[in-house]
Amino acid sequence: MSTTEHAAAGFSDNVEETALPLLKGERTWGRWELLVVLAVAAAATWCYVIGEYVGYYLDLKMGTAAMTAGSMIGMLLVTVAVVPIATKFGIDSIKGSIPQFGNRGWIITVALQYISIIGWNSILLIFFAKSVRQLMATLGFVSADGGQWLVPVSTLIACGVVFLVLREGSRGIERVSKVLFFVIVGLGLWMIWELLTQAGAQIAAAKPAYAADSRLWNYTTGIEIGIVSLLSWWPYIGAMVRVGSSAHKATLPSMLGMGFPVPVLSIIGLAAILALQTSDPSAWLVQLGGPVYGVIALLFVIAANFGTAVIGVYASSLGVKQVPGISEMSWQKTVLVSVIPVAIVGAVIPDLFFNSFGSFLALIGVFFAPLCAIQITDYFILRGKKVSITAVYDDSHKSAYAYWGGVNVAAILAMAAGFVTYWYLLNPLSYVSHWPYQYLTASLPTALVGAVVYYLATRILVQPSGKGGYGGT
Amino acid sequence: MTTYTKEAEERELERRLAILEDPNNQGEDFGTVDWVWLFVLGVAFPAVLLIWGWF
Repeated sequence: MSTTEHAAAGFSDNVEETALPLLKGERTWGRWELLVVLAVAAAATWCYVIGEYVGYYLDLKMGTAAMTAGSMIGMLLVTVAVVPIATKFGIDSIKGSIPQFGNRGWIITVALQYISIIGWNSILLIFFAKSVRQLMATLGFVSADGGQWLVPVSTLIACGVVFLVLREGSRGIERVSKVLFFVIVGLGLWMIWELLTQAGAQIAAAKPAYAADSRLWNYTTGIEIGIVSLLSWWPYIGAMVRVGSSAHKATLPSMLGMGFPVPVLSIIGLAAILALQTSDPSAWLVQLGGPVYGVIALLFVIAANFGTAVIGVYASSLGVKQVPGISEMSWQKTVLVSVIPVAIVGAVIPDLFFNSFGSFLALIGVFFAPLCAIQITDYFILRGKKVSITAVYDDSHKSAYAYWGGVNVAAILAMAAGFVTYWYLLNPLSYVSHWPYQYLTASLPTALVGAVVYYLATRILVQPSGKGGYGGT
Repeated sequence: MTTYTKEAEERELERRLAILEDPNNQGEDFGTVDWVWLFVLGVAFPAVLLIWGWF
């Protein structure tokens, strides 16, 4: 390893591997590049699991409508919260949250990002590893219940490949994404076609297995699953759109590239669970077309999950790169910090973790609804779109974003209020709900409560104390 | 592999911050057309879908 003092030009070559803000000339991704990268990030096999959950409550038509509508609403919240500040200064989601959480309080958002992305990546790579084992069993290389060792081994190999790709920083992502995009879109459309043509009648006649008596409650729950799923894009999107030069260029890629593929692919999971009682394509495609279809399904799983895992580890690495102690590490070591926990989960507790997907998804969503609302309220209403990038990078007590000991009490209060609101409206573990959940969902009132509490706390506590740089930035 | 010294990175950060404090060097915010797209894709489209799905 060589330690080199780089001139300014030298930094431009590797700047995407640092937490430095990107200058306009370095933000080279246009709409197409952003669309492709965001679509590849979004299109993964978690879509099948999301579709499966909606299929527990709704039939194909209602499920498609609820899931798609919820997803686009969730994407709207994430886009409006993250895209403006990320594209204004070329910073990721974590740096973009410093004006609201403080120059120490942002560690909360790093923790949320780190945990959520490690969780998502573990789900994806375990899903991939299970598909490998499933296919090997279908092809007769291992017995139906055998070959369990393939799961940890496949997960570890996948982690190794992700690390190798990310040694190049975001350039590796762009290159991989361009290849994967066409594989994912092409195979995804083919899978929808196969499902509808071969099992269309079963899908049309299928009834959801766990539907409640109330049609409205089922419908709202479908919307809620869509919203919460897309709120989980908060940790991912900043690291991607910061390479775009403006919010204008990132708007459609964000809404269409990251928002729309999830419900479209989730329809596959929804239809499959309704008709064939399984959302795993490496299982149901074999039912429809035999081992050859199983191989194609595995190719799809590899392409979809690999692209998302690469982007997730990249975003997570950017986030933890800002943590003292890790910030001094090389980019490669930082990537390892994000990859190793995934490898451990995949190798040691794959089944336990994979079977907890529902709880994981719901709990993550609980935090990101108020988080988005806080950012939107702060940036558009309280700050009038003015943020000091110097203060964002100033970790001293003199920073405009130092608040109280580096933490903004208003953000903590708003997060707590949002958390309690969500838990009251819909218990994410048991799915027991309370009025007016069936009319409003849980995420939207949670976001509203978070926004109102943040606004009032800022007006009453923060601004009179002269903290937060309001009006002075 | 290459690493940067802390001093070099701090100098580079200062240089970048000085550039980015100038609004001319910042990315543009959402424009009117963007807000229209956000409304169409994030509000109107979901509303139409939900009505279609219910009936």
